Amino acid sequence: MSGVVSATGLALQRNESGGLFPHTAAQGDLEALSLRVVDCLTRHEDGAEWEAYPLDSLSLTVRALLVERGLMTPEFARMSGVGRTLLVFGSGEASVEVNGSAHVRILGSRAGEKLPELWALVDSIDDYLEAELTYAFDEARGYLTANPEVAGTGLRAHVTVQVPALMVSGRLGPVAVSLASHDIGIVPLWEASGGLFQVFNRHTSGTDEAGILSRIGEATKQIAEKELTARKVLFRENPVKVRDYVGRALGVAQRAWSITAAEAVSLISAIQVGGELGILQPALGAKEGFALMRRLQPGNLVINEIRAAHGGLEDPGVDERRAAVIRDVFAGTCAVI
Amino acid sequence: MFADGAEWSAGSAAQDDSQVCEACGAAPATVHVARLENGTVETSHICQSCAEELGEGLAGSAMMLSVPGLIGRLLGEGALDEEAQGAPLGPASDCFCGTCGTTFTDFRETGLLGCAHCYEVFAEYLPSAGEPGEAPSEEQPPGHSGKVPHRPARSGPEGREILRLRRMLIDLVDSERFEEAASVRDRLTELGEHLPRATR
Repeated sequence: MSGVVSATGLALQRNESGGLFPHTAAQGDLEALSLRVVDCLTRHEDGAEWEAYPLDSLSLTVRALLVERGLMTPEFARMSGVGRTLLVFGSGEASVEVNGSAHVRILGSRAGEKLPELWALVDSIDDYLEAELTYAFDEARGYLTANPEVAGTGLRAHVTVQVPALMVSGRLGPVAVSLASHDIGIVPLWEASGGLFQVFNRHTSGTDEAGILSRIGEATKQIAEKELTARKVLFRENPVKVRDYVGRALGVAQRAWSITAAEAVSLISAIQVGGELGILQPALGAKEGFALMRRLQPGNLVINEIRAAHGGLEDPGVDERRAAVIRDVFAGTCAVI
Repeated sequence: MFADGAEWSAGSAAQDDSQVCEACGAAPATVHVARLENGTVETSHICQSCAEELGEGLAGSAMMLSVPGLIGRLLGEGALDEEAQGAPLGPASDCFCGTCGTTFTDFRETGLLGCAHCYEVFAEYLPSAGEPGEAPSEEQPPGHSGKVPHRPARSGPEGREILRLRRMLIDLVDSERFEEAASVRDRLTELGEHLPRATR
C-alpha cells in the first residue's frame, strides 16, 4: 500500500448532555462551554502541549493552512463568533474544534496509513474530555449529534489514496459502486488532481469503532492493490504513453515558472508514480509526495514559504513561489532510459 | 486535510437530491453519482439497479454515494408528492421540540436536530437505531455498538501520561523505531490502555 496510501484522518463528534447543540445554543452557553474545554485541556502543568485559539483570531490564511493539515474542518473554517475555539495538540498530531457542528469535534491526522495508532490518540483525548463533559448518549442510538447521520459512534475515518491509474483507466467507477455496497464512500480531494481521493465510512452507527476502522482499512488495502495492478497494466500495455506522461510532468516541474496548486498535485502524482515504475530516479514515496503536495497548498505555501500570515492566497506570487519550490525539489530527478 | 464532501451535511445533500431515478424514471433514486469531467462536477441521481449497470461504464473520476437513509425519509414519497401538489404536510409539519424549538420544517430544511430531546420528537424520521438507513433485522437487535461513556475518567497526571505516550507511539511508528514503540505500547498496557488490532 506504500505507493498508494497518503494519509489518515479521524473526526470524532461529541455533545454535552442537557445542553442545546451549538447551532441552537445561546451565545453565553457557547462561551461557557468553550472556557470549560480550554480549561480542561490546558489547566495542568504540562498543559503547554495544548494551544487554544479563538476562531475569530485566526486569519483566513491560517485557517486554510489548518484545513490543509487536517487540524480543522472546512465547515469550521467558514464559521465565526465568540465561543468557537480551536485547540491544537503538540506539534499538530490532533486538534479539538469547540462549538462547531458539535460541542467538541476531535480531529487527528497523520501521513500514511495509521488508523489504529491515530484512533488510540483520539480515543485518549475523548476519555480525557469526558472527565469534564457529560456526553449526550442514548443506549439505543449511541452518542447524539446535531446531524443524526453522525450519531452512534460519532466517528468518521478517512484515508487519502492516490489512484491516478484507476482514474484514467475508468476503473474507479466500478470500485466506487463496490465500496458503496459496503457502506464506504469515496470523494475527491483537491478536485481529484493527481487522482487523489478520500475513502471514508458513510455511516457512523451500526458497528463499533474497531469495525469502522477495520472496514476502512480493508477497503483501502483492496483499492491499493487494484491501483498498483492498474499502474503495472497501464505501463505494460502503453509504455510509451506512460513514459511520455511522466516525462512531460518532470519537464514542467523542472522548467515551469508559475504553477497552480492543482497542477502541482498532478505533477507530483505523475512523478511519484513514475519513480515507482522505475521510469524516474530517485523515486519519491507516496508519503513524501503527499507531504510535498500539502506543503504546496496555498495556506501552507503562504505561511511557511512566503512567511505572510495574512491574505495573499490568490496572489500570482504564490504560483511563482510554488514553481520555484518544485524546480528545487526535482532538480536532481532524471529519467531512466 | 479534509475533502469538503467527506463531512457533508444531510441538509446540503437534501437540497440537491431528487426522488426518481434520472435514468429509468421509475424506481426511487438511491445513488448519487458525481463525475468530474473537464474540471467540472456533474451530478445525477439514479436507482441501485441503474447504478450497477452504469458502474461498468463509468470513466474518469466518477464516484457514487448512496443517498443516506435520512434524506430518503425526509424526502419520502408522501412528503414530496404532497408538497408538489401544494397540499399540507400533515401532522408532521406541526411537530416541534419543546426543549430547543426546532420544528419539523427546520429539520427538513437543514437536516439538523437542535438537542438530544429532538431524537424523541422526530424519532419516526430518523434511521433505525444501530442500523442506519435500514430496518432492524430480527437476527440482530437494534442498538448502539461501540464505545460508551462513563468509563473511568482518565484525567489528571495519568491521563496526561497516556496522551503523551499515545503521541510518542505515533511518532515512533512513523520513524519505524519499532522496538521503542513496543516498549511504549507495553507501558500503555500497564496503564490499562489497549490499542485496537492493526488493520493492515
